[in-house]
Amino acid sequence: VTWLDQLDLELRNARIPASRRRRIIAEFAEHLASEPGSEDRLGSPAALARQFADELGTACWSMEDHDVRWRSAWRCLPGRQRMWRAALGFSAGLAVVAWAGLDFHGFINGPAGWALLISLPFAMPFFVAQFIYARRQLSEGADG
Amino acid sequence: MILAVVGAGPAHGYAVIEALRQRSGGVFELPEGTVYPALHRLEADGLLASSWDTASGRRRRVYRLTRRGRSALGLGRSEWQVFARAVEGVLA
Repeated sequence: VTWLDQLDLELRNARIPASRRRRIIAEFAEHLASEPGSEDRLGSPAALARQFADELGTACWSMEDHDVRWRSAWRCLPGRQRMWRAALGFSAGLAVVAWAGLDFHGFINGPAGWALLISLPFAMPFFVAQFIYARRQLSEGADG
Repeated sequence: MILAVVGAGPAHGYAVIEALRQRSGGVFELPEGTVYPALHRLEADGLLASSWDTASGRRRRVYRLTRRGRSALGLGRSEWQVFARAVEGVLA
């Protein structure tokens, strides 16, 4: 097993997308072609894969890296692709409640009310994650 | 530092590492591999752009500074000059 094979495996374990993995491997292959035998100076494949994961925001909470970015954490939220729909539905539901307003009990006991209730656990992490992410982005922007 | 190296002209990863080593007079002996994740992050942040380039039959990913990268480099340079002057003032 070559150093590049090990790096490929570690990148896979770190959930780096296939297209990005191919590019990284091609870049390191080019580096090794420029300077054969420089594997030791490049560092360990596992450490490099962890660094790529963190820099590219694919690291998860389960990784033993305490400097994981919020963006990384957000990307690891299970089912996050569906969450925005739940959040949208929840917001629309709230808007309907606010607009209809008068018959709140009738609404909450009906199917729309149940849908609103079910979407709540999905919508809340979305809102919280988005709030944290936006705050971080703003503070990074303020820091220059 | 990476922005400064790429700012001098488009460069591939190996050339960036070589330039860092040479321009620092060998002081910055970083684990070479760590430069690549940094390049990818700088590109993701919009400070660098990259494309494949074929030279002498070898395919290389060449990085170049974006407009945003150039202004970030200018800002970084001026911040560093202020810091360096302050330290010099204290040590003198």
